Amino acid sequence: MKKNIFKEFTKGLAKENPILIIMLGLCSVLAVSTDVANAIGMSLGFSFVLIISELLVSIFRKIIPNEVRIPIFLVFIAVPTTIVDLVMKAYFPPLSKSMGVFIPLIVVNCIVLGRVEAFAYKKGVLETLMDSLGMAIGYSWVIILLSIIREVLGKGTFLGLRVLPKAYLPMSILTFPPGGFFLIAVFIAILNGILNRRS
Amino acid sequence: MLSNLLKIIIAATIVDNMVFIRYIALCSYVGVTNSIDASIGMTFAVIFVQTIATAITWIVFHLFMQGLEFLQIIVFIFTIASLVQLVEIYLKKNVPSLYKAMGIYLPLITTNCMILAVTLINIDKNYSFIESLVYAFGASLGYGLALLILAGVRERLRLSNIPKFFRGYPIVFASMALIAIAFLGFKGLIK
Amino acid sequence: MKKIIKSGLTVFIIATIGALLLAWVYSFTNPKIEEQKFLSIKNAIEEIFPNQIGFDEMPEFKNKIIENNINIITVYKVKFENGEFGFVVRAIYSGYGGKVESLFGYQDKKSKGVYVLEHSETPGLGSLITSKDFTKQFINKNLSDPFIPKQDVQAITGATISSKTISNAIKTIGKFYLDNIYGGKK
Repeated sequence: MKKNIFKEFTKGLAKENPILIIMLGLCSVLAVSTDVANAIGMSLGFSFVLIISELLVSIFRKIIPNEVRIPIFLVFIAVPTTIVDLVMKAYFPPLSKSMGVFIPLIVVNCIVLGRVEAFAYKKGVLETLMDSLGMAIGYSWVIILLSIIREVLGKGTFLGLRVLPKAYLPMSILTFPPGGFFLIAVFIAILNGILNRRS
Repeated sequence: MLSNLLKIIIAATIVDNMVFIRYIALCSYVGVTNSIDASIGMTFAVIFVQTIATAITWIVFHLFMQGLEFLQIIVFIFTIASLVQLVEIYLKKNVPSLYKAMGIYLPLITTNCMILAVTLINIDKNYSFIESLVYAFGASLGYGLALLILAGVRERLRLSNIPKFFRGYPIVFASMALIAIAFLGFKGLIK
Repeated sequence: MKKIIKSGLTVFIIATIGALLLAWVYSFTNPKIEEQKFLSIKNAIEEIFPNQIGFDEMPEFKNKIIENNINIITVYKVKFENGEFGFVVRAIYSGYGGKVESLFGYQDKKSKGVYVLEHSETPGLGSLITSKDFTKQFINKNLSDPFIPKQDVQAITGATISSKTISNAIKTIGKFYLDNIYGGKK
């Protein structure tokens, strides 16, 4: 029993990683990973929404009528998303500005709706908590690692502070869309390679 | 006036291409570009729903939501979800030929983040009603363009010899990187 | 039928609770959001006029479109300790990558600097219009100067158009300022 619950947590990290394996929610990953600060903000916002909405659905799963479950899921996702949006606007305005439309887009982030429908609606609260934590961390490590590569090599800075000498000519292509797409390709290839070798 | 609308449509279609420059709608994008037919069906469904959704959300926002801006996300996503449902029912009953062509893509559209994104961007940019519609149309056209380009590339990829670990999705993203470079070249087209 | 009503009611109740919850969150984040908006303008004005002691909006210049399709959002009249005034024009112009929203400072017949609030210029090249190294050259620059990059304005390498559009905006708005605001006051 205990081992099972632990498994729900670890599967999100690599084997069923929401971004690299299930390939969902890529929009926000590529868009905000140009800066480490943005990536951390997005990870926190996303994790908050994912965990809260999964838990809500799991708690109320017995009283949610099957025919109208999708609208109810949407409420359970949209409310925490709006809270994240408002709080970011109020307390971290520069961060909110640079992430722009991608905060409200958490609502239609396929990972959230996917996990809610496929997992939280069917499983108990404890398992759901583990699943959402694992998925949240699985999302966060990818986006933060991606942002470190893109910011350090693409701008020569880390969290806005210069870390590479001024003589380093930034590979600014990495901060543009092509660089983002290419890095994701490399990430997936590497993870596939590792998982293949293991099995 | 007219030149302004033309600018908006070119910007939305090419310069600010939803997929390659703004990174929106990637999930569904990677999914449906498997075949050219699916891409065409999806494009029409998106153009259709996007334009109607934009019209409705614009009216709802500007008529009923003064002071209730914080409900924007929840109201918009509800509008889109119910609109998709209604369109599906209507087409199934009255225009079966159209339903056949794009019906299976309709349920996918609710979670296509582009629909919500465009309606939100229109409000954010303070576009007028006509401008919003033109922007929505242009954005979905750009999405369609992106779909067709990648679907074409993927049909060719199927026949090529790809390094082992790059097979499947990685090579798709690598191709997208190359297409995105081309789209980057349009930057600065609109003054 | 009963089932439909029950399902509809469940959705309705949950949506209402959600909306009320959001209204509650909004009630305490909204003042903060307004405050942040004001602060960001205040900081930007302070950046241009560090010795300011207060500023007011001038309602007569709201939302005006002038030459070169530059949209003046508003004009702030800035007070100094010694009783003199400066003016900050908040305007949107078209840059290389899209709209650029900036604050332009003017006093007497001089440009007093520029502060970019929002832009979508190329990161690493055009985005350098926000850097002090570039903007400091517009401080205390005579408005009768030509404002042409590579002549009297130091252009950013690799971003000639971004440099040109911002210089052009300073000059055009400066002309508007001289004709309507500065001239109107004296």
